[in-house]
Amino acid sequence: MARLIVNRLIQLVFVIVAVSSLLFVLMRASGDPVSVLYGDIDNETRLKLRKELGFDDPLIVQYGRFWGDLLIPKFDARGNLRWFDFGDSLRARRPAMQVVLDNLGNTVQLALVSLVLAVIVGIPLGIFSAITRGLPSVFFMLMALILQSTPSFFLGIILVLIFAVQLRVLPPFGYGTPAHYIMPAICLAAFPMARLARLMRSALLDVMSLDYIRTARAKGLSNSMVIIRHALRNAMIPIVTAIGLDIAFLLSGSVIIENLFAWPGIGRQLVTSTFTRDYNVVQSIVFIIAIWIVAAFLLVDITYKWIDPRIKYD
Amino acid sequence: MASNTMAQVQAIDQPALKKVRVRTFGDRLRRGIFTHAPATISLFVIIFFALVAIFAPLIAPHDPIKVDIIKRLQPPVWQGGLPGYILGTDQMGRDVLSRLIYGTRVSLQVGFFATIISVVLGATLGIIAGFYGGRLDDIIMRLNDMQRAFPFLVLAIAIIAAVGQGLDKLIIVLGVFGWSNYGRFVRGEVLGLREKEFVEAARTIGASNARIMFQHMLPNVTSTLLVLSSFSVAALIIAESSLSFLGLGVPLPTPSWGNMLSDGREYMETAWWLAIFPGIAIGIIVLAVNVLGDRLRDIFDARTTL
Repeated sequence: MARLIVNRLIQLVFVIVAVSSLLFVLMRASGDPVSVLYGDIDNETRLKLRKELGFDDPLIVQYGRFWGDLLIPKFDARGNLRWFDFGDSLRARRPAMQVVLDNLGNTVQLALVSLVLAVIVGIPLGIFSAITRGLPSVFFMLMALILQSTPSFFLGIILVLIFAVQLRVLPPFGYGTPAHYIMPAICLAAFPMARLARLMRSALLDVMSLDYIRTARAKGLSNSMVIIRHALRNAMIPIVTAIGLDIAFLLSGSVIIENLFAWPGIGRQLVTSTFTRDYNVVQSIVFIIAIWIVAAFLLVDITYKWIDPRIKYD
Repeated sequence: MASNTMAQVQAIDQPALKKVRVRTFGDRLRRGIFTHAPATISLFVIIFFALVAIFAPLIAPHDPIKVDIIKRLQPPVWQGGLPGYILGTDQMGRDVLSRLIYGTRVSLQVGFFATIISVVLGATLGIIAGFYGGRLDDIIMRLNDMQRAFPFLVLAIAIIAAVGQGLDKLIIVLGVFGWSNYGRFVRGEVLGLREKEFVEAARTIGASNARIMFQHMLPNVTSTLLVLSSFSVAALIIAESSLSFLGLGVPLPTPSWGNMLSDGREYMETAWWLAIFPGIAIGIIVLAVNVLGDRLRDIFDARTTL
């Protein structure tokens, strides 16, 4: 188990070093950040700002400072502890990481609501479609296939057209009341939900054709007993991976949805910062997302071991 | 052991032998698709979109980027719009149908070319990692792990933030960062193939490493690569439209389904047709590619009888 965690941590370090370095180089290689940030300013002010913000130093010095700020905890002029510091947000004039953390909660809330929705709807539908034959199960699987092929933002636009523009029962965008969660959560949940339903169905069907299920039936167990006690446990193995991947990639899925519904999370912030070239904010968001994903992978590893004790990691 | 196998072979009766008529790869492929109605329809849908993309200038009734403010926000013809503008016009008076037709080009180009980049890159790195093993394998697979642990879309957004927008940049960024699945898969297969007799035989007759890798091993993985790439075409079409929707895809005024949707969002209350048609177009092509991909997977699965 310790080994598992160490391996994932090594992966995390690699991801962060590689992605941060790549972004560091690309962002500084592509034009003067000061002119992008402050628009039309006279040359003198521009040069002064460049010097002040440290863009005048050689790239390698900037790179060293980047890692120094990130790894070495220290106190800034205002006496705040700065650690995992990607510098100030060039726009908000506050530590970029702070700006991002302020919004992280909103994104995580939306992601978790969507995850719960995807699991409690997708998995039962998958089980239902596997154990029954007939029109409803065909219909559900067709719906799942269509949902899987619909981009989340198109689904969002349709929902807004119906529930906000036509029926006027839900707010079209924004944040605040529980009603604001409904449409963004459905859009974000749609793809994982459809995938879980399809995967659950095929996993259960695969398991149901195995010999040990026949044996269980031959023992005289009832059908529901066979499914609940014997089939589901094994069919859950691929599902756990899928849920783990869904958790991992919900944050990135929310980039689109947050922009569509003006949800004040890090996804919307990522796009805004991209447009305004607020590099430090982009770096901070990327850092947070990398940690989130590796944590989700680790969760999958651990759950795996718990469901299927035969699995050994080495 | 040997006599046992012989007995089994003889035990196969005549009718069963007749059923196993599908012989070559191409036979199995053709038969698998054309005996399956959804896959056949999907194939024709894809061909249709491809033709639309290729012949866009001939088909489109209007210039997709010509602004004509007087004709702005006209509804589709059956809702009382202007004749000649079948699906209506957008907020700048541009013909929605023509923009939809030209938008096909962007989506299909990204889907097709980015997939090719991913497959070539992934297959090459995967073969090299699996074939040579050791240090090289470690490095390539580390890189692979790293990339799989990072969301494609976020990476694409961050890189586009740095390098700027453009169709070519979009294709390269999406293509280069799509290699990881192929790399992983091909490496796994090559590890198994490395010990096979035919590789040994090729080596004995003096084939070079490159020849063994690309002439002898690669053909063994092409069918699965085809299945994987069909799903990635679908994912890439969605990725392109997502980026364009966010305003980070192809630069304006080039029409793409994603940026049409994004425009449509602003006029949702008054002009539903702006958002609905491009959305349906994306849905149809992605659904067709997914259905065909599902079928290809079944066809290449030896357990499926056709």
